[in-house]
Amino acid sequence: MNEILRTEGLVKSFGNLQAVNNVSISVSKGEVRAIIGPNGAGKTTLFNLITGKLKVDKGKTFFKGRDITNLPPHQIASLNVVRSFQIISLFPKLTCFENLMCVLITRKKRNLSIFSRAKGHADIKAEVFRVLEMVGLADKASVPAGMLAHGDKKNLDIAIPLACNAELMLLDEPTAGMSPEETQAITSLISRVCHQEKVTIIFTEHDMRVVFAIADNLTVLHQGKVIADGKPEEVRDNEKVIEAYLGKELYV
Amino acid sequence: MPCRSSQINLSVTILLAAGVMFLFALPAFLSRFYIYLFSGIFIMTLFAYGFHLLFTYAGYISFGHAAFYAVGAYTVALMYKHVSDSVWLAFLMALATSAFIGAIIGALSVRLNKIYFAFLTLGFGQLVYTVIFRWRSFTGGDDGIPGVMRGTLDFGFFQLSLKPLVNYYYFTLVIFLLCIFVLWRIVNSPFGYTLMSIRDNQERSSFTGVNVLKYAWLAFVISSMVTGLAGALMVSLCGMAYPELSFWSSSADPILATLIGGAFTFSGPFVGSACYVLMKSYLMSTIGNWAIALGLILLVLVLFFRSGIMGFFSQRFKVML
Repeated sequence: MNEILRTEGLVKSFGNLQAVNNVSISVSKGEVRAIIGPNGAGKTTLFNLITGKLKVDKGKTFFKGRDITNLPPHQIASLNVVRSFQIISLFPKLTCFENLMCVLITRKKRNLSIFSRAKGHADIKAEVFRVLEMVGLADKASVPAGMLAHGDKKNLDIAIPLACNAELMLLDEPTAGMSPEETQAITSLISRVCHQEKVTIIFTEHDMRVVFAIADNLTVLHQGKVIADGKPEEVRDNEKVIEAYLGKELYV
Repeated sequence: MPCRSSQINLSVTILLAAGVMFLFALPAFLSRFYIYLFSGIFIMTLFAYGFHLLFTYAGYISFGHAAFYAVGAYTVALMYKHVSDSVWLAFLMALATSAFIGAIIGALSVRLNKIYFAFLTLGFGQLVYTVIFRWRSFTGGDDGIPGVMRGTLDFGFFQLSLKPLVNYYYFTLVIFLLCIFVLWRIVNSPFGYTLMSIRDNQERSSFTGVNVLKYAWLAFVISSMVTGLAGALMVSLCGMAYPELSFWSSSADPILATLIGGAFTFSGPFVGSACYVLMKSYLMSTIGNWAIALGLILLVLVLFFRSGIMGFFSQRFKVML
């Protein structure tokens, strides 16, 4: 099997609310998997469980056969499982170059190099420019991240897991709050990334055009449960999915 | 603009070299009072740099750094009193004790951040104060330890007494310059940038694989060592260790000096400490109740120069100072 990530019966509740209820999914290497569902379906909670932001109540997560359940976030990240957040999350006072440089310092485990000049590490510099080039930010390398335009911030946000050398990228609503043009640009960036860099991607999304344009497979969550799983065409015609999104037809 | 930035680099280097030469030449034309005052500036600057590393680079605001200042001071005082007059031994011991206390307080404090961290460090600072104040048999209680000497520097082939004020001035200056050089390297190193990523966005940093607690803790330990060194230098300069060194109001000195100079610049703590010490000394001798003047100056700062003196110049000339 070419499986890269498997969850087995993940459960998480907040008080009486079962946010994630017995979710088992399996993602294969190189796949682009969309996780969709109405607001409050548990998509972000599922991401939080996989990446260690929240502790699971029950169930297990395996990455490449290794149990990563409840590991602290930094350990999961250093196994190359890297996520982005629904709200853009950068290092605002640092420049684009420095944002990615920090990430590469961590990836190359040089955080404890305390006396060398950070900007003098030639291999890191080359890699930072390669990633900046890929996301179209090379000419803004010395602009502080906090001063970028919204679209550029989003590009940098996605460049961070890329610079981490992610094998599995979890993108939480990569097109949230973007104009149609920006959405188009991010969509093509994501599909370019997964083909060029051979990254497996799991993403949540509300824009169905984006979902059908790039996802290989869909998982539909509703009230914390998986209600459908499969190829986009199959899921689109699934009755339960239509019901979850549109409600039961009352007047037939 | 490579040309312009290299010109700026050149002029900054020349300025720095001139500044260092000026500091070395100072005792030749200044009175004892000013030699004493300038030593005080160097010490306050180191104290401020200890706070600054943790605040500006890692994003943790400590209200308890006076604890490490006092630990450094008392260690040197006790070493000279009970063990030997070796400066090396006393200062190494001061570094070790401030690192040790810093490691314990740091491990307990960096788990929290923002205001909670500030209050926790304030609490630990007061704890250290209480221990120093109450442990009369060891620390002298509220009498402190008077008559601290200045020790002897043993180079093997010759020995230099630090008793003359000019010798002590040069000793302080050398340690001050060394520390600034080391800190400059640290904040521009991969470790420094790891701290800045923690400062800017702790969550994102940990989700790229940074063990935030570990690096914040390390920054805390380095910061306490620099602060402890400042205390060690101070106690020999003024010749007395007293419990108020560790009182919470003493923790405010490096914060004020850093803010006056410009928290988000590297040179801020130096410029700020120089202004702070000179101002304090001038105002104390002229109007007595200098806190009133300090309050007014802080008001002007907060209203018009929020980024501090060097922050203002940095923005004006678009260079990081």
